[in-house]
Amino acid sequence: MDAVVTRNLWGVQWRGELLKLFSRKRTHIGFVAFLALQIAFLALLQLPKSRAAFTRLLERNGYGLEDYFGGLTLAVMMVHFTMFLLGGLYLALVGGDIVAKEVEDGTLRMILSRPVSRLRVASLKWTAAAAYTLALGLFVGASSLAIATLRLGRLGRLFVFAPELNIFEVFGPLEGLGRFAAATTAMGLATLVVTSLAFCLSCLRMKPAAATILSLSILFADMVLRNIPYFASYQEWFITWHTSVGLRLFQQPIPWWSIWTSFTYLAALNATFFTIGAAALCARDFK
Amino acid sequence: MNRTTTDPPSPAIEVERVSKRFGRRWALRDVTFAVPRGTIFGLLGHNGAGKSTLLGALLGQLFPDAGRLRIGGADVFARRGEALRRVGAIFETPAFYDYLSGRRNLELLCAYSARPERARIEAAADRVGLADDLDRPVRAYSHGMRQRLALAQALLPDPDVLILDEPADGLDPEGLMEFRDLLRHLNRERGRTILLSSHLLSEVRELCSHVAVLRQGNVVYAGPLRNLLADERRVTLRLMPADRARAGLASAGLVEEWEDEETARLAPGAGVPDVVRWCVREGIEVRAAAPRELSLEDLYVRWMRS
Repeated sequence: MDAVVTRNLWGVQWRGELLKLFSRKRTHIGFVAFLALQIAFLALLQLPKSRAAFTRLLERNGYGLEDYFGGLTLAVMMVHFTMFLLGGLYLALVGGDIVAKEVEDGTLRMILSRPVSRLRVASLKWTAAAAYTLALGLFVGASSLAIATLRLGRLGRLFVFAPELNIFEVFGPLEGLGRFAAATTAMGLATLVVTSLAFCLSCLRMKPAAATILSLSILFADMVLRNIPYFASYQEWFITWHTSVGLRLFQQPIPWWSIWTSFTYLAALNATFFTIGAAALCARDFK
Repeated sequence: MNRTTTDPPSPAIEVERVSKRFGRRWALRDVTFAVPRGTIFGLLGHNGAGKSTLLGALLGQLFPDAGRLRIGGADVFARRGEALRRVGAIFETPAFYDYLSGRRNLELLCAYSARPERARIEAAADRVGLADDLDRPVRAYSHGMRQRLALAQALLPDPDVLILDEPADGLDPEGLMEFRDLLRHLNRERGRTILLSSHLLSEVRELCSHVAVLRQGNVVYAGPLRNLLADERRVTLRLMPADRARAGLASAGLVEEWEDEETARLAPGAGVPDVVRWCVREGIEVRAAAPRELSLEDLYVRWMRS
């Protein structure tokens, strides 16, 4: 009977976690920051010299600016740029706060005086943070596409240029839209590893800011190491290689095996980070 | 083995040889006591005596190094859900989600025990006098209102046992009186067991029937409050003529020390009847002779200094 009641309360408790997460100013500021950066990026791309550089790149390869300088092309660039610049920061911020801030504020003690297991608390928090991560990824994708399309007045064809992955591809509007939707979803799922890492650190005995900074430092070190030429043969060992899985959906043909490998690697990392974090939360004293 | 009707009811809370160390310092050392069902039990001690550590362990927030803690017969760590299902708790500094309303806070916290029903939440808020402020954000609450909100959340959903860590801290005199009345009501009318830690000795004296006194992590007394306060060797004696009586009782070996004009500490083995018999024999008028009840303050300070 008790087990049934407890199981039925999962949904109510999870909605409560989401309510806490999405009622905080910081969460909204995150969304607003992304919007502001997208608008700034779009404005910069339309400066005469930026536009000329873009035109040269297209025309050198036999494509016309009018076909490819549209909502889709710019949306891909905006998503890639904003997620690179702000995605890690905001996900680390939310993940780093999710447990440590409640410990610091004392609200976690209020929860833990209730008949709820610590493992459940960890699961609720991680899944709520995961929902935030996906929501943020989809928001960035949808808002980039909407802003770029509205500003340029057309969806256009898709042109993707990502030299680090040797991607130089063009797609028609329909296929481009499909690839963009798939890539955005994949990017949302892939960046979950950032949230999981920050969640893991947040469960340890440290301040929320420390959890955030440490998460960002680990990711930064990972990215720097990956880009050192000596380690090129080992790039698949690095987290940031796998978080760029969304871009690989623009390769022609799509490297399914590589994408599958990346998602498996990321899933294993997520499980590891969650397990370490939950174990730390279950074992520590709260005073 | 079946319980017979003559067996005393099992305690609501059992603390059995609990020890907890932080680094080299013992926060709790071999602490043992039981809180009888349906009582208001006071946990007394100065800052750092181990009260909050003990309450934290009882709520499963701190893992003791040794010992067992049970609520309603269920081990707090082995059967956490069962042990805490009917427990409401308040911490010394209750914390809430300041950016949410009082109602949302109550719903969120209640959801970890039971489905948060609107009527139940409003009844709890009404009981602590917060009904009109329930939809205001908690950041706008005064300290006293936060304490009331803490009590409201402790009353959700419907606890058999209340564990309260310094619950009256920050309440104004009117709030304090209402709070005490509420605790008495919950205890007397609804049979709730209340474990209350406090440094407000008057509060413990006014509310509690049983008490445990902690000193540097050790229990120095656990039992009924009246036993703690009774001190048979300390008596009030109003005798005439006073000077002859005081000197005579001292030289007869019945009084060890006169603390003031009327308060005497009897010699070991001497009792009030012995004093009265001596006075009658010596022709001294006895106007009053009775064991003197120690104030809790006296005891508390004496223990803490010893």
